[in-house]
Amino acid sequence: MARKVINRRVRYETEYGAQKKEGHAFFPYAMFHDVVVNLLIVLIIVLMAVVWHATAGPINASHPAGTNGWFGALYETKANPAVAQTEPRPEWYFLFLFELLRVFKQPWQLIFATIIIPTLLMVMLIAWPFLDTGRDRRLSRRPAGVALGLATPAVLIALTLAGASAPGAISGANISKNPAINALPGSQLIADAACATCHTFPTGGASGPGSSLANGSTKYGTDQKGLATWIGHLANQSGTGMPAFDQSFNQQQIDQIAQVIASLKTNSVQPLGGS
Amino acid sequence: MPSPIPIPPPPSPKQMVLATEDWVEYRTGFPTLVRKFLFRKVPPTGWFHTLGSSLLTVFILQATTGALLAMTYDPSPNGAYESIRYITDVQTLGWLVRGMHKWGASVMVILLFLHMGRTFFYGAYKYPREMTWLTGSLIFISVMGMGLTGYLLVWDERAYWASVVAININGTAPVLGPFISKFLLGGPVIGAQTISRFYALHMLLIPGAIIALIFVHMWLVVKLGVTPWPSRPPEPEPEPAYEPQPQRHVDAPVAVPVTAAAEQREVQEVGGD
Ligand code: HEM
Repeated sequence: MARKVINRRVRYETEYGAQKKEGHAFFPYAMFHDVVVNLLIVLIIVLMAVVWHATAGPINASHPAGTNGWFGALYETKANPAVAQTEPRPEWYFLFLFELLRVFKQPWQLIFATIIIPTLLMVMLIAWPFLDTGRDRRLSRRPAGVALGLATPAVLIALTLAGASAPGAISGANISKNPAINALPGSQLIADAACATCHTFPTGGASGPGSSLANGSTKYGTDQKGLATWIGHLANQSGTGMPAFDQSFNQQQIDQIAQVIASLKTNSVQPLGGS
Repeated sequence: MPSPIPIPPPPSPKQMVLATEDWVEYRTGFPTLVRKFLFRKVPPTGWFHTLGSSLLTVFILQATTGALLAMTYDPSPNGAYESIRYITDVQTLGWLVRGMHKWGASVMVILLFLHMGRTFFYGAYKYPREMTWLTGSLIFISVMGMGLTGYLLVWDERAYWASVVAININGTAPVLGPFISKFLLGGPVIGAQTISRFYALHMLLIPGAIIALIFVHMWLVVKLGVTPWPSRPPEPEPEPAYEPQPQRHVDAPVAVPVTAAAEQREVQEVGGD
């Protein structure tokens, strides 16, 4: 059987030539659509800026950043490297990555959220035209591609929504149901550092990316020295994504935090530094 | 008595326009280029084909508002927040410039997803437009980089801690991770070095890359033409087998010279499906 020589270029040019015959000149036909939509988009951006500014409320001494408007405050309080008072929320288009951190929160799984999945997504994105090389462009003739093209945004949207509605921080130093623990100086420090934006405490907090501290630390229990090292820098060095708190707190403060975490284990106040 | 030299009549407005155009044409060739761009034939297009040009517009808007912000913004830990407040609360229309830059970024990300969806479902990334998609993907990744580096510049609580988490997470990557984290931070913690680095990335390095990529992307779009909705089955295989021709016509506003070598390579792609 003679091998038939097919020229993909001739085939394509025949097809595209026929499609062009059905078309029209770029100007004014296609450009008309462009101009209408471009003006609309610019209008939307201006309107968003106006509504954001107009609804953000008066800026005065008691509301230095204005009250939260429809689209959020104009700015929040100035960054203070020592205390985190707000949740470290990324821009909405990074929420899916943020949520992945909660899904893969065990230290050994973390690499999925931080490296493997983002890299895979980027490689797939760039390489897609070289993976899907079938010549028929009709949706009905490329079901696998279409399924992937629908599933990917669906998953991204689901992760984004989950990330956006992740529980926030707990109010003040009321991290446990035991008032004696809440009265410890470390509890206030935990509130300042906003640990509950990543960890669960007995009264609430986030279900990730950090582990649950509702019953204290699984890893260290009442070992306050171990906890202090972990909070100070070991967690950060182990690649958990947790900040190194020895950059923002002194050793005494870190010991006080460790005391509280150890106390959560027994739900009773442990002496500072351990028994 | 010598006959008087005849005075030519003054040129009509039309002649003046034509002469001007000829002046420009001979020196630059732009009129022909613009005419070929505007009056090129495109297949049937609709509203979905407008998303790419909207992206171009929003990018130009971001570059303009960004340049205006840069005139007042102070990229230092002590000055950043104060300069943002000054722009928002004091400067004439500063709030509008900052607001348009802030919300334009979100609109751009949404438009990117829509434009990617449009080209994906139209199968517009298929032969011969693979490089259009590839350059687009690189633009997409760069724009996400703009979002990441721009967020910290406001230097408020939320941005600061989000960046701490982002940089820490980056540091967990094997091999290169710690190196990249160190590079981004410029020191042991987020500080003056970090803000300068993010600023340089955000207003010089990444936008420069995006501009170059947009040029390539747009060149490819104009050269190859846009893809209509795939309603018809592809053309059947041509019969008889194709004989390579020495010269082939490329229907683009600016004909791309196809060298003999490239032609040869193209012919060698001939083969099974
Ligand atoms: C700032 C970013 C971008 C700009 C300014 C831009 C601009 C454009 C323009 C003006 C077109 C003409 C047709 C249309 O508008 O649909 C186009 C087509 C195209 N774009 Fe983009 N684009 C951008 C990002 C992307 C991204 C992220 C991708 C995909 C990953 C992409 C893939 C494509 C493809 C495959 C086409 C060809 C469409 C066809 O043949 O019908 N672009 N782009």
